Amino acid sequence: MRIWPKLKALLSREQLEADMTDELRAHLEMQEAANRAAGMSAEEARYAARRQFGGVDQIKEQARDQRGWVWLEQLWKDFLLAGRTLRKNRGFSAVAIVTLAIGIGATASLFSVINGLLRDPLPYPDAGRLTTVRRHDVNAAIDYMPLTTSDVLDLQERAKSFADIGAFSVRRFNLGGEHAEAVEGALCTAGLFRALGVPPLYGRWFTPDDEAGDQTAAVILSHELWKQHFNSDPSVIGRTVRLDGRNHTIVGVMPEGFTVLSLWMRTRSLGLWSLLSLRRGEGDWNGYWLGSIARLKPGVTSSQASEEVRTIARQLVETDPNRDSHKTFWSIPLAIDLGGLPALRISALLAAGWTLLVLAAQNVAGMMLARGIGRQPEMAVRLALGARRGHILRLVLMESLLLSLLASIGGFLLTLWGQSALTRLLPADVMPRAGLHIDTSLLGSIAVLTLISMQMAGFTPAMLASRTDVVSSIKEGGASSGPARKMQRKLRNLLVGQIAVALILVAVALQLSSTYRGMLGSSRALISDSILTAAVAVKGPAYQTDEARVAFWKRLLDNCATLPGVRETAMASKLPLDGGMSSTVLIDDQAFSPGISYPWIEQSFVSSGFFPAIGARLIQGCWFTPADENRRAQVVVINRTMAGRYWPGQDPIGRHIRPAQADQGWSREVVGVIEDVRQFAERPAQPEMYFPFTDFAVPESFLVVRMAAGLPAPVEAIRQELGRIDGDLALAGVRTLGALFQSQGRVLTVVTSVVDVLTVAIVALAALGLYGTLSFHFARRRRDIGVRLALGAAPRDIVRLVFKQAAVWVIVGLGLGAAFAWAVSSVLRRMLEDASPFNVPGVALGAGVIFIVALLAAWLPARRAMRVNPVEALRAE
Amino acid sequence: MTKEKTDLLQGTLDMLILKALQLEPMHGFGISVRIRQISDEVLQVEQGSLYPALYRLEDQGWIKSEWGTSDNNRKAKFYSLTASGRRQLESETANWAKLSAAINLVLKGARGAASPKL
Repeated sequence: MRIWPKLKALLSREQLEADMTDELRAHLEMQEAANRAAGMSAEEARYAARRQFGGVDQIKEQARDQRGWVWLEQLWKDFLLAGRTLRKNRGFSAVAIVTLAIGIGATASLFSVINGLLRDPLPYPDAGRLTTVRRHDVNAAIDYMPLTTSDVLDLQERAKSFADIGAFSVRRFNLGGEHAEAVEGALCTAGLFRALGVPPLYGRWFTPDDEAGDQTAAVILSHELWKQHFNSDPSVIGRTVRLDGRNHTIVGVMPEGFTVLSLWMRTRSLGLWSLLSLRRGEGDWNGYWLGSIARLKPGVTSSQASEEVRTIARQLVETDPNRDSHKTFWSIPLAIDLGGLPALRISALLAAGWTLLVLAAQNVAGMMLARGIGRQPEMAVRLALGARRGHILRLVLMESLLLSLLASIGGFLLTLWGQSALTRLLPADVMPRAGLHIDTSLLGSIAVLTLISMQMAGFTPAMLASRTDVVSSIKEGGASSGPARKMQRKLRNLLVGQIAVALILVAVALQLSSTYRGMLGSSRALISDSILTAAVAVKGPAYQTDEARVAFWKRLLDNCATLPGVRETAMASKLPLDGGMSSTVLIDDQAFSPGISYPWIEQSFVSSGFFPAIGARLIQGCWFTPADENRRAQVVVINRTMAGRYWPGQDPIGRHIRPAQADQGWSREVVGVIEDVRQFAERPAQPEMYFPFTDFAVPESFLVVRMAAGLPAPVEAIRQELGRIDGDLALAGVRTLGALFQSQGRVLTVVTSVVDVLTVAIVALAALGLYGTLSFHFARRRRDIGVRLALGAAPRDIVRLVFKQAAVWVIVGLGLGAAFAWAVSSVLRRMLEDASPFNVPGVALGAGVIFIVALLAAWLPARRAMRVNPVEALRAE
Repeated sequence: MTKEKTDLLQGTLDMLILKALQLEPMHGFGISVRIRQISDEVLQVEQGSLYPALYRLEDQGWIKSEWGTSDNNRKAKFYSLTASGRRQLESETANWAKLSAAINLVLKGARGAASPKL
């Protein structure tokens, strides 16, 4: 098959047609001449020629089939015809296109965020070979657990998959100067820079010698800090800078844009990196505190590395079963690690988008099916006039193709709008760092979504149309013949299904939205703009002991308490919604067993003022008091969730808590139970223990100041008080609890409101689709109604008839839907930690709306049918 | 005066048209006359088959067409063989010879085998 003649045939169709006409006429004339030569009269010769030649148009048609891309021409004709059909049914087309476009737009723009997150380029050379190693403990509250000091040392010694592996821990540093300043930075090992592979702008990376050296304090500066504090002076290398009251030597300056990315620091950059020398048995009090980044050796795949670290963990557990018997290591590519969790956090949105799309396609399918049944007589006439069944199939498919094509254009425009809306709406920590753009994968996903929706919307109606039974359809007007009845049944099933699905979606959407709303509500309880928080890193040679740090905090709290407007001052090792410090415990006389994996319990170390300062309510017992702190009473306050989990139905006051370890450690008596204060914005409250800060004054802690209502916090005065106590320490991250909630709860707020909007859209779509299908069905019963009226039925009887039928369908659909919705809801509750229970009033309301919509959809066309003259209705068919 | 018509095997029409064009370019009417003459009035090509076949052959590149003037000064479209058309004719002729010889053998053999039973 040669392309060129076919293309020519396609492009110069008129020329070829004219040629063909000329040629056939010439043939006729020659035949005529031959006949005359054989002795016929002129007229006889012409008729004979015609007779011998046969039907000119049939010949032309057959000849055309042999030439060019006939199918392409026909496709074009089908396309035009489909366009005309859609234009004729403007209302139907508009609803279908808009519905599909919204589904495609919502899904595609959310997909572009998630895809962007997982493919975010990392600012490191050959970043595809970077991985991170994490640990996983059964029962851990956090799935993404950091490593311990010995974990990192074990990995460094044993793992063969990595060219380099480094560890780091994000910290606040007090940068000395005229005024001490808090700088966010990280402690990191020499291996980290080797693994990342970004050469320094000036100076050098940390070296193994730095690590081995005794008291070497070395620091590498970020480009930004270097610019701000050292005036971009290249001679800073070798100079000394005061960090946390200790002298550090500047060994390097990193180039602009460099930072060490980690899961919780995807979008913030660090100011400096201070050398971390890991020694066995040292610094392990921090427990799980180290992030890791490793570079794979050439030829080693990420899954091989993951397999190796898993093996290492197993060997470690076998050699020392008393320690960490439930740990395992796993390793994943750094890019996935950084993008995966944010993607997970907004995946509810994508799910809602998908639901919307599926529903939209289902709506369009229902409407097309109903219309397809209505068009059976038309199809029958086409078939009777000689159209092939394949052709009918093609024609109907072309209509749905055209619909989806228009919908995908609309969807594309909506995606553009959705991307900019999401960029405004979603906080930076769940957005791709590289931003959102149009790329081939996005266009591809739109194309795939279009294809899916077209397939779903178009195929059944097309099959239906092509299977039209010619004789019965024409004879019976398509209403009551056998095959038509089969299709009616199909439509009825579809309707019942549509009602059921609508109710299920309403139930799920309600449940999701009330779940999120519940999370939001319980976080909001403590949110107040009159509570000020600030971080203080109490570190340095002067603060090596708990006593020194406790003394510092007592002085700071006392001094601040006298400032005007201050109601309460307190110290806390962590703030609400800012959780992630936990340990494992034994209760009462429970004995430790290395084989058991103990659940992780959140823990805080706070001063006695903490509870009144944040306004937490005491449920039982009492707080610990300053007196308890002074005599180091061995007490602990727990939250309601922990009381419920460990002493269900019992009085927890007076019970004991011990660490889950082999050797006998400390023991604390429960003196009070307070209401839950959420540790994470997007998770339900976890069990938590509050210890007096005299037990362990965590170096990086927070100052909490409750102000008299309406008064601004005296931030400057607090800063001066701090400077008076120790000029090397700086106040950082000053913000109110309200602002803290704003930033931590932002994702939840956005997800909740977007899910709400999508829920409304889903309900609207479900109602719309139901109305479309049902009203079409009853509109087709005009003839039926006409006959009944002609035979003397009263309008009342008609109304009853229509309502009865619609009501039966709706009730069956709602019943099925309610049953499924209940089942789905219990699955959801098993998946989501604090999913709301099945929302009975909400679902009942949804069912009521569906019922009313359905009756309306049945009644309006029926009323219209009753208004017309019965004779006309009969004749119209 | 009805002549007995023989149904043409699928594909043989193409071969006959190529054969008719072997000597000189010809128009559609000429081709149908030529085939009838050569076959001694046995093979009558229907116009309904002739023109689709001509377009098909042209589409495949075995013949080409141009407008010219017929013997009695009429404008007519003349078809002529292309180089690949000639090759096609040769191979089809050879195939046909093989096929008809084989069929003849089968028919003769069948008669011989059947005779003892008669």
